[in-house]
Amino acid sequence: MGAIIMTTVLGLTGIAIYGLLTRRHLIRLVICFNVLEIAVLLAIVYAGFVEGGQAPIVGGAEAAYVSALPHAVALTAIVIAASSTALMLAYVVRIYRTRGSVRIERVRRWRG
Amino acid sequence: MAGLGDSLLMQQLPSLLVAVPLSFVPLLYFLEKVGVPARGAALAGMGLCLLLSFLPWVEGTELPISASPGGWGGLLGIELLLDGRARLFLPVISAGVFVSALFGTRWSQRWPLSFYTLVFLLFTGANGLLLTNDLFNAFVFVEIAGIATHALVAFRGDGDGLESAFKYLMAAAVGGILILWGIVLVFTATGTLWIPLAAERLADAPPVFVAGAAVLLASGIALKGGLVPMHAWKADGLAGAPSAVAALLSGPILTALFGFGLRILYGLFGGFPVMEGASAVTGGVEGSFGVLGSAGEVRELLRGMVFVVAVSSIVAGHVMALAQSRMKRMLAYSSIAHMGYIVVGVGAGGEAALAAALTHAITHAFMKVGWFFVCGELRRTRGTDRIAAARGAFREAPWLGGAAILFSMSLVGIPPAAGFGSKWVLVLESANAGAWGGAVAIAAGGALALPYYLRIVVRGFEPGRPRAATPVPWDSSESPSCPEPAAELPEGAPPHDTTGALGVRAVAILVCAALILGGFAGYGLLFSEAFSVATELVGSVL
Repeated sequence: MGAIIMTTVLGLTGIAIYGLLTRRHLIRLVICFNVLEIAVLLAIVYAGFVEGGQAPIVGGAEAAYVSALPHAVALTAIVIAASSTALMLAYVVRIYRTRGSVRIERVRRWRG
Repeated sequence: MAGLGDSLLMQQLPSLLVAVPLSFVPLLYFLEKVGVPARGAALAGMGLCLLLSFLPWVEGTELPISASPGGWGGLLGIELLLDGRARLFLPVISAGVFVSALFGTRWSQRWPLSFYTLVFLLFTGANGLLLTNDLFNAFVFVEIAGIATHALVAFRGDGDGLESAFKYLMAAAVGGILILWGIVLVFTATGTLWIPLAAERLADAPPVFVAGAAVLLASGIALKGGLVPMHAWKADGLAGAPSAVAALLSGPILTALFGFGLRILYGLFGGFPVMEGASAVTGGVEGSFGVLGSAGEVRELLRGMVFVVAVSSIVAGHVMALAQSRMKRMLAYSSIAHMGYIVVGVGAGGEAALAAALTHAITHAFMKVGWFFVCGELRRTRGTDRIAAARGAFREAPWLGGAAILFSMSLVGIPPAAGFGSKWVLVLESANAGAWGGAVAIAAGGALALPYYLRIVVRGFEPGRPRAATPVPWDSSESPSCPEPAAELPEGAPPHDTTGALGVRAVAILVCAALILGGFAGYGLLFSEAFSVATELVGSVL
């Protein structure tokens, strides 16, 4: 179970980093960022995984409690990633309107 | 002011420092609805925050002040901790935000409500980042500040600003993910994100987790702060931003990030020990190292990496700055170099070198903010921040030239500017601590920096104006090969010359100049305060 999840996390991270370094299309960069985010979210949720653990409700469980912290972090990170993505997409739309393209080499003015 | 030290106000001060700027975010909107102009309300609110940030300096205040909104305590809830480090940096952040808001941009006159709302969000994030004692909250605050900053960078809404904002947002978002990865590792190793408890448990954690978390958190912060090798976005990110926003990014945001970095380094990982012997760049000292004991070698390795990053930031920052033809890009590269100076001081370890790094962080904030204001003034009169276009500008406005000279002297490290003091001590103390490579790089950095500031100053005092003397509105086309669509300038753009605003802009610049001069005059005082903070930080490591 753990091995499968960690492999998935590493695989997604690898794909996302490869994409961030090689893609020239702004929307694809945004997608790569999201894949990277999903990988780390999976890792966060897995970090809080307890075999046979129960929800941390007072008086509700007999077995080990699961810490609610990773889930809170994951939810917050999802909200933050959603706002970042919204902002990125808004920029891409505006960049397309002002520069007429969403490919980096056509959009870029500055080098060095 | 008897009794202020333990009054309710002081007990809740850490919460207030976050809550007051945050409450102004919706408040500005409602105040405008009832007819209070956003600019006035915003400046009043920032004045209030500035006042609050000086409260911990009141005689008889006992530090640290810990506040726990909701009353759950640090383990279950949120803890905000106002320690000496926060006390030192809070006024820097507040003053930086205040003068930047005062300076404003041309577009902030057009859309004051959005501009000041975003500035207050950034302010909240910066203060929170400095005060938080919890990694989870730190992540939230860093992203609050970040999102507000990205929106501000693109505030003009033109192609340059959007391109800058997209690059900056992409870099910062990836930096945020690195920080999140670091947090995951800390949680996996310790089961908590409350910094004091996590630090305690990290002491017994496998070194691989400790090193991994340290590297990830440090890279995340370095990426957001723009250190080599993660600096590529920075010049582009600042070049398209309005000058006041570039000032916010180089002053308050960098200061808050640095403060947070120190909290992580000393609060979580036990800091760098004083170097023994003269092993400069690679470290490699053996022996026992405070909390982490067995992980000593890992830490020396990390220290070596820190020095490599710092020295290459200094060299690359200055060399790239020399090659720029636009002022904002030049200043952005110079910021990279100065972050390198500060990291050398931190990496050298020991109270004195750390205190020098703290004072340099403070003086750098004001000299860079001041330079960006000069840059904004030049852009207002000349329509561009190209160095070539500055010709004759200082001759027309000698006070601006004087300010530019002062800020340049401070950045290069020539008395009587505050930058001289902090740099001098930084070189001496890094050398004292055995970080010879760093000390030499800082000293050489000044020599590299002199020509590129001198170039602007000389150009500014040359007689005559540049050939294309008619100010181009918001030089949206730097490269003629790719003309901007005309629709880029929003309808009803404010008139080019806004004489009413010159007064406050001049005041903002002169405030920075006064702070730089005052920082030199009161350098002993500043350094002794920084030294006590550094002692506290180093002392907090068992």
